[in-house]
Amino acid sequence: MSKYTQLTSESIREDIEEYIDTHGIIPHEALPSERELAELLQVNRVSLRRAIAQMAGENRIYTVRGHGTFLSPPKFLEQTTTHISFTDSWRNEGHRVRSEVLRFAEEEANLKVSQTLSVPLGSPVFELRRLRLIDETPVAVETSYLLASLCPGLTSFHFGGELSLYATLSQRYGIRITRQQQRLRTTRLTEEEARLMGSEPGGSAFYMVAAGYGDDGVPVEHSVAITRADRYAIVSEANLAPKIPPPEPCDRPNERQ
Amino acid sequence: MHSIQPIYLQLADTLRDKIYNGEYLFGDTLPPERVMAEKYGISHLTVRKALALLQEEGLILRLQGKGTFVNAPNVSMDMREVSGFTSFMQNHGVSVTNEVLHSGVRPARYKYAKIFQISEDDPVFECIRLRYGDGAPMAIEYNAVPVRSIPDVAQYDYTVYSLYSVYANNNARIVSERQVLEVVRIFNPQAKLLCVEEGSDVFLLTSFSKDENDRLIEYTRIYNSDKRITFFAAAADTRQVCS
Repeated sequence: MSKYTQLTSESIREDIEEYIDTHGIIPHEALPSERELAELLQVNRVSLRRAIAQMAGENRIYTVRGHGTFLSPPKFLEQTTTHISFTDSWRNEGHRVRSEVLRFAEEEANLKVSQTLSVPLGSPVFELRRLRLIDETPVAVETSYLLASLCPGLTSFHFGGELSLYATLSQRYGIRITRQQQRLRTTRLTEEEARLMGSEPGGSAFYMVAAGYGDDGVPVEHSVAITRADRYAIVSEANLAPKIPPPEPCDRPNERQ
Repeated sequence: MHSIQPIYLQLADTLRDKIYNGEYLFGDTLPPERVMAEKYGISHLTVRKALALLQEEGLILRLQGKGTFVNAPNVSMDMREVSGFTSFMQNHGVSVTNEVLHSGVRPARYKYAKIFQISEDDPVFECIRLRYGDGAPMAIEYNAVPVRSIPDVAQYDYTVYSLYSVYANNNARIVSERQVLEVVRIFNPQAKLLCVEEGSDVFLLTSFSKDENDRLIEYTRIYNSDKRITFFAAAADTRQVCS
């Protein structure tokens, strides 16, 4: 017998997705009850429940206990090949972007930061921790580290609201970040992150570590973002011949020639 | 270290970075809890909490009486590259074997008619495979290929053949891919097949692959439970300086 016993729930999933499309269900609108769906699709409830769990696990739908199952809004899709500045990229796609500053202070570079920025351990850096919102949905808690010597007086700017860090660096300090590399892994939201983003503690999240490079190839910014996986996904357009050389095997690309 | 995060998270961050940076390599043991507690001047309980988090992320293995082991060699999957999964993993020294869970031709129905812009009755080849890396399950892959694009696609045994080699045999070649990367939770029976707990986080990579004529010839979903994989993405600004 086949080890694979899920084909029934796969095809039920297709039926549910077809139902959602053809009935023009909109985000946050309720789907028919489990009993109704089972009758409509002529399937047994165990398989139906399995298909629903799978779709909920992928954030296509969500269930509110005692109230039913609802269509999730589509995830915000980060176009990673052009995404450098969070604020500018999302704004260019017609979204409202806003940040709340959680912390902005001068710190000493820790091991990780000093390695990315290629400076000695303990060098003065600005640490800017922000809650990021797209269309008023909190999607990420991001901490940026910038060399204090490159942008003296940066802390006098207020990056809450709609001010872009990258635009400020470009306009006020002549530092254009034109290239970014990021590494993506998975993590779970801590209680604090969940509270800040109005989400559930333990919720699935991307753990994104990024380095931003200036025109001259010098590393300017090191950042760590914890991004809600239920509201955010990454899109990449890949071609046979990548235009940028692939990463070095080690996590510390040396950009200085 | 910055001061706003709880100590256990700071320690987890530090250890995670040492693993990502290759300072601790796959198979290395971490210092004993007692030693770390002394080194950082923190309590055993805090160290244990940090290790529990890293274990949940799959970066370390804790074996009773033996210690804590790094379980995460640096396998970085570049999202800008077009390459079959098998060749990618093999390039990283992982030996890949496959188990075909299902393969067959079915009508496109609503789903694939929409994806491939074909009629609902058009035949689509569907293949579901469990991928093993060095003998351990690491991914479930669902492929769909319209039979009109690759006429003999259904005739091969995909335990041995890669879809890419079959495309080549049909004089077709994937030259571009749109990939969507998500973090999702999986449940049984998928979780069981991947030997992870129900509700575990996995990377879901959905790809739309096109040939030279810009024709969509493959739609693939890969649920990747392999904790060794880091996805790598890069962006470059080709615009003029903004005003």
